[in-house]
Amino acid sequence: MNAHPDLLALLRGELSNPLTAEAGDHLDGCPDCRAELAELATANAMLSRSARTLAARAPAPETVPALPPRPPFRRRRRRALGLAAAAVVVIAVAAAATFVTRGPEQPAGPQPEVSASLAPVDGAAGGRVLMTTGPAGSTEMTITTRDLPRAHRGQFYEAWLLDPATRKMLPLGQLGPSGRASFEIDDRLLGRYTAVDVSLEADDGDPQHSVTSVLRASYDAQRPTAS
Amino acid sequence: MDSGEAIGLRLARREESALEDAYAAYGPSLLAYLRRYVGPDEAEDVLQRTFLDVWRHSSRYQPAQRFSTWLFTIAHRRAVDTLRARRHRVVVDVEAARDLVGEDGRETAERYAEAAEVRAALARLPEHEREALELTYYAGLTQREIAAHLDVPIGTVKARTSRATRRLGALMRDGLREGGAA
Repeated sequence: MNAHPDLLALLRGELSNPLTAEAGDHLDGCPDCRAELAELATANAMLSRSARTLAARAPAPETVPALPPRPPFRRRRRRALGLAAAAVVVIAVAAAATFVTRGPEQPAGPQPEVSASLAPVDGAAGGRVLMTTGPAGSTEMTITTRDLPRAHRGQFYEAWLLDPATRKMLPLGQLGPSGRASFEIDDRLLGRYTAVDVSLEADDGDPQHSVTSVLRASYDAQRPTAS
Repeated sequence: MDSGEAIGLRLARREESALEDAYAAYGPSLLAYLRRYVGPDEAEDVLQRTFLDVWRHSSRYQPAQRFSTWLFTIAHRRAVDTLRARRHRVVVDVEAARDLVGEDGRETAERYAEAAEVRAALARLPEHEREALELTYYAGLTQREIAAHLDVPIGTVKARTSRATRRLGALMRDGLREGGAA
């Protein structure tokens, strides 16, 4: 019998078609793998569904650690809650909001400020991307746009990181009504992409990038690479 | 971190630390839900109002109800209030309002509540395992990308993810079997 296949990669669709077919053949004759697959399938299904739901409205706060540090009880009218509790809540949320982007043992070190022009894919809009060193191992990216046509109701502008070579994209989050947004991005993630893209998205629950890219900027490999 | 229902019971006993736990475990998911309906500008305010309500009405939480469902029911109400208040101003987001009220709105809230439960259950895993699943599912990275991201051998990533997946499946199944959530 062949070596046992990587069942997680199989479930996640990370295997090529030939390897997937091979895994299928292996499963036909391997009760151990079938049992293990059944065990993994439950959590895989729940996690996939959860991620799909929470990502459906663009930025999950975990992928965009931009949750402003405002206490949930800063309105003073509810005295019942101790201020200490509110303070701890804020710290907890700040921690929750940044945890995905903080890999362990990241190379720190000061980095130069980098800026790039956002050029229109079509039309006359423009803007700038400014990157400065953020908290340990991260970069603060500020995107400023100008002359973007006003998004109609049910539409919004969203910023992405893009690797033009592989077309791989990572959603950063929505641009505010002023056409500005700031994101704190882990340097290793930033190093995996080379461009910033702004797209016009319909509020249709589809987390994928729409066909409408409006602005694009390239940044070069002054960023630390991912590996 | 406790299960959702355990957090709810502590809240019902007016333990302030339970409010912190609820916010840490469910806050990001609630924010994603609220952004969908009230938009990013108001979502954080509505989240604050939601948690004020959670604290104010915590004694009403019944452990027979899933804690996530209880939380999202409150968030749903606050989102509806917010959209209603907008009607008296300039803009009425008809589509958002239609999506939020009625049967569709309740279904969506329940779907988010379930998604939040899974997200909250992750917080109960050991740190390395939680991180592996976060990066796999919520950041959408492949095992190879995670290995590069964390600077660990791919075998380590596979082992962590596999252990984490099993453990999370068991947590969720146990929680649902007991009639609550993980």
